[in-house]
Amino acid sequence: MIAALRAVLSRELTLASRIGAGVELGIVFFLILISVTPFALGPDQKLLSRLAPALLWLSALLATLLGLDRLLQADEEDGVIDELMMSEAPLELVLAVKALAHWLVTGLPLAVLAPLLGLMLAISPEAMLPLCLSLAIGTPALTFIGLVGAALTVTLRRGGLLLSILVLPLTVPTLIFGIAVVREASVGQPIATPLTLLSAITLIILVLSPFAAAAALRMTRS
Amino acid sequence: MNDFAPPPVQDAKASFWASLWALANPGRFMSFSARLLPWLWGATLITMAYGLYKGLFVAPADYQQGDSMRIMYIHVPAAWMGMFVYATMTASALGTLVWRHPLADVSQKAAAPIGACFTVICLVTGSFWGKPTWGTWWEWDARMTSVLVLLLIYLGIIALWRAIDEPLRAARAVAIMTLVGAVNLPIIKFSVDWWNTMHQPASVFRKGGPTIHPAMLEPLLVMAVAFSLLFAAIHMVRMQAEIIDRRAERLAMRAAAGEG
Amino acid sequence: MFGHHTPYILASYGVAATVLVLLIVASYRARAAARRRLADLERMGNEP
Repeated sequence: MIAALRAVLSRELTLASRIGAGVELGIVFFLILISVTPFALGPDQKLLSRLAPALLWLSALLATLLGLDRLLQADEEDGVIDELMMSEAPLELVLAVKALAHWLVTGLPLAVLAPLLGLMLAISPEAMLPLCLSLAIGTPALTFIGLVGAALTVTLRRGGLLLSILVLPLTVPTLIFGIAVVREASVGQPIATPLTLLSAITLIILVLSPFAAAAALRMTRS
Repeated sequence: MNDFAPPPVQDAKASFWASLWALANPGRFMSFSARLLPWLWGATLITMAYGLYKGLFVAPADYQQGDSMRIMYIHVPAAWMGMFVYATMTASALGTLVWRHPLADVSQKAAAPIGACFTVICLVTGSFWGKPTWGTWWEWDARMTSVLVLLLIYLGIIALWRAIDEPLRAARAVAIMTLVGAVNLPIIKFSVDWWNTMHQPASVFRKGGPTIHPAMLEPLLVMAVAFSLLFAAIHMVRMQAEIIDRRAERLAMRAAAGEG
Repeated sequence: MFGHHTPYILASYGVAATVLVLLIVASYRARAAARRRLADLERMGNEP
């Protein structure tokens, strides 16, 4: 079973590196969003600095959302989902591995890059590592919630927008606590509470979402 | 074929479940609901009239907010209904996925728009309450924000219903989404409360004071009952419509197959 | 009647009433349309 899972993981990563999974696209989108917001807000450093945690997190959220229909859609069209359902590994684990692979190429780069983009928004230096940390812990939650939405909308032709509509309200807790970590760090306050809550939410989502997604895939096959 | 004869009545709980299964037959549900509906509407009208009368004319005006707090008699029960209808949808979702009750998916589908309407009413009345009281049309306080997120979840569920053609597959997908939402809603409520206290150290009371005067409590509860009865009535009508629609759909498919 | 709060109270109760009435009407119309559709199909089934 471990071999089967490892095969899934390596397949995902290979595909991602060959087809150009949108790693670069996600990063570029992230960069563009951050670049464009000062046009909307004005170049006032103090304002940007205060809004930086929110702007970075919102941009990461949107960038993750955009990459989500790549999670299952292509495989569904190629009939790979049916194969995966017959794999010796339980579908829940297979999906978890797929989501993990997806996060490695979309969410993780955002978390790593965010402090650099934060410089453009005059983020305070104490907030940079917490920013990285909060995104590293929070973006898996976004991806795994997206996994459930993707599973529910996989058979739909234009499921992308509906996917976002379903996923966004569920990301509110992650958003709230993720931004709180960065903001508390910006003003020198301790980040233990929001960080713990953020991690707890991510853990709950990581555990429950493969079951919901697997159920969705199974029950919506005709 | 299922045997719909209810088991011998042992206690109230057993007979409740028995009656749910007794109604699993669409035909039985239709005749039962047809008989029940007039009574439901009657009870709704009476409780609604009583609650409105008490709330608008009899209950005292608030010491600080004046008469605008009468809006609470719509706003708070509407919020409760938004959550109660979602609880009904959750139970129906379990009925669809776990217990395979034949009418569970019909119940789910019928309930969603009603819940969405109640949340909209809650948000709009909350806005009208906030303007004379706090001067703004919208306050990001914990309740309004939670109800807003609840509305977004309702809208997503309604969109999901409309996106999938085949009724049973749609029902299962929506059931999973409903359950996912149900698990998330307490987390969302908690995080919104936390977020609110982070940003607004001064707590905002929206109930007309930290303790509710008993004279204000009565219309509130009566309106809650009235709204619940109203939900039951509308829910039943929508379920009937859905059942009839499915019957028509089956006939249409059979006719098409016969001609083919 | 309620002083300067009257328009807000009227608007609130009015919006609530409007939404609920629209919902009730829409539900009954959906049921009537379904009944009509079923009746038409049953009639067509009996004719030939």
